[in-house]
Amino acid sequence: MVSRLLACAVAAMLLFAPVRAARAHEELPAESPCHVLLEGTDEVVLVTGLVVHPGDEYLNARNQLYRVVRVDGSTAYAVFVEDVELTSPRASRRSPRLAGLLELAARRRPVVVGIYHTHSDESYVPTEGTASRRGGGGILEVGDTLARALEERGVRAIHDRTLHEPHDAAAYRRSRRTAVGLVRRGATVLLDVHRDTTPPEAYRTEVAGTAVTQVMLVVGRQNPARDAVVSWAREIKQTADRFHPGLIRGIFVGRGSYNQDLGSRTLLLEIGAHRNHRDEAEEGAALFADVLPAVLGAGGPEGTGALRALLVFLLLAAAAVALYLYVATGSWPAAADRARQFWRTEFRDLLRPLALRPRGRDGRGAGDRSGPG
Amino acid sequence: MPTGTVVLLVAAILVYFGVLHRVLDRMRLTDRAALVIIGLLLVGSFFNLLLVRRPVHLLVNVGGALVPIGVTLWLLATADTAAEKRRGTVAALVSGAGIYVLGRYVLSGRAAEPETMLLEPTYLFGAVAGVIGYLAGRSRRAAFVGGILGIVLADVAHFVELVLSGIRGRAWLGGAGAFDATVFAGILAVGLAEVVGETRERLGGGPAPGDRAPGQTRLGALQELEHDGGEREHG
Repeated sequence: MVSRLLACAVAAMLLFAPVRAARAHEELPAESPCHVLLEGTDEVVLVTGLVVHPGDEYLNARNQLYRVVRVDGSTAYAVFVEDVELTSPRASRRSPRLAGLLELAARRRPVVVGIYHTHSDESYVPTEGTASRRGGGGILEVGDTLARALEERGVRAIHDRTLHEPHDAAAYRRSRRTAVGLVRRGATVLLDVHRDTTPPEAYRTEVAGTAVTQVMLVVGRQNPARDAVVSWAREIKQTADRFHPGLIRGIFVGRGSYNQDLGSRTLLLEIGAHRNHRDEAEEGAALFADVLPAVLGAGGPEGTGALRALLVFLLLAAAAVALYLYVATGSWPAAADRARQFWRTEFRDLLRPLALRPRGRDGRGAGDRSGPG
Repeated sequence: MPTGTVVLLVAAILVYFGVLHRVLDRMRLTDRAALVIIGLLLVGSFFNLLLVRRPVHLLVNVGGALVPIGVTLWLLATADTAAEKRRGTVAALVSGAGIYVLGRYVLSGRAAEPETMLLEPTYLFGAVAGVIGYLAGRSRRAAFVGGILGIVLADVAHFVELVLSGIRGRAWLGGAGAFDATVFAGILAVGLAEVVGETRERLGGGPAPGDRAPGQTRLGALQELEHDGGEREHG
């Protein structure tokens, strides 16, 4: 009886927790963006259609880092963390564009940018008349522009126009297959191109006298390579700030993974919002393509991000195994006993040849005795 | 790619395939058979078959879908009893329906965005498929069958939906190869069955002291129970 109750409780937890989450968010109007305010003031730090959670971070256009501490309905509150100085040792020595292109040319394997759209229905209302178009929205045209602009700048780009509709919870499960398909076709960089759901002024700007929409870089924090992706995103922003100041709206690090566990050079791009003109979004995409070659050729973000992630990953794996053994055996000594037994059983065959071959003075092992003589 | 990231990826892949090997071990496969299946999963990940061309493309990845489906069908075919076969089939059907309804209707609107979910979509659907598979089948094998076939059936339902709605999309079974939600679902299902099964045994008190042979440790008795009765319970 108890065991059945336990099984039901586990099932209920996994099944109904997402349901509760769904109901909680259904209370919000579908197009109601989240306003992130600086705590204690009315200063708006960010407006976005992304769902914001405590712990999310946002680096704004002026490189000020904020962390969300509280969410109340469609309003979130953040605290200022620090002014971030974006530096790139490579770029400081020479022009980032030159550095990127030189290193790009020096690579044996060409850099290939894979572009896809998890939410392939997303559209721009002023251009398409709807925010979501079945069978492929205007976001596909923005992807085309980005790919074309990259090709014009000497970077090979593959634009996968696969539809992942309907726009439901399984869209990312489906788009993961497209992303992996792009990697198989040689893509070393993956860009999942979206548009946001905010008032148009949140993204509208002018760069060198041209009306464009800004680009927001989104990084998933439920991702082992998160720090490496953040480093790369910051490198892109730093380069963009030099080429086209104001083009990058900011870097949002939020819950989710967005298929970014597939590599450290994977990003989700929000290019404009649903009430921006698509032409302006395409301009923004073309300017973004202008920036990308400079960071694609670089050796990439090394730092300590990936190594720290490796350590965390291994520690979590060890903790999970230890917990399982404790549950399975009922005590830590018994768990250790079982771990030792597992080691002996699994590696017995592997270690046996070494154990059975004590090396003699002539350098021959015991196993060599069957030889002549 | 940066060295640190490469090391991280290699470690993750090693742990992933290590766990997969243990899962196949639990399916009463020999070490060699488990290694062959993992090899097929890996190599098969690079091959896609186009099953249906019009009106909607239906592609099947060999490593991500065909090999896992083959293993589950083999498990069903070699199940000890008719009841076990029935439970495995029911687990797959219920799990498939549950996954489809969850993805399509329950997690709708803003809840369809990954940032609102407790787990990543890839893991969430796998975990749910595993739980449903385990509850419906009440064994490790049924959980494995339910987890894998649940995702496959939900993808088939997506294909049918595309055909009916006239969306010129692409339906893919196991398109991400060995790292597809289909394979994750099988691993998570057995993992959950393992943890739930072990917890049930703990709550049930495990083997009574009188069941132990003279000199036998409690651990030994537990392992013996797992080997004999445990296989009937979970296997």
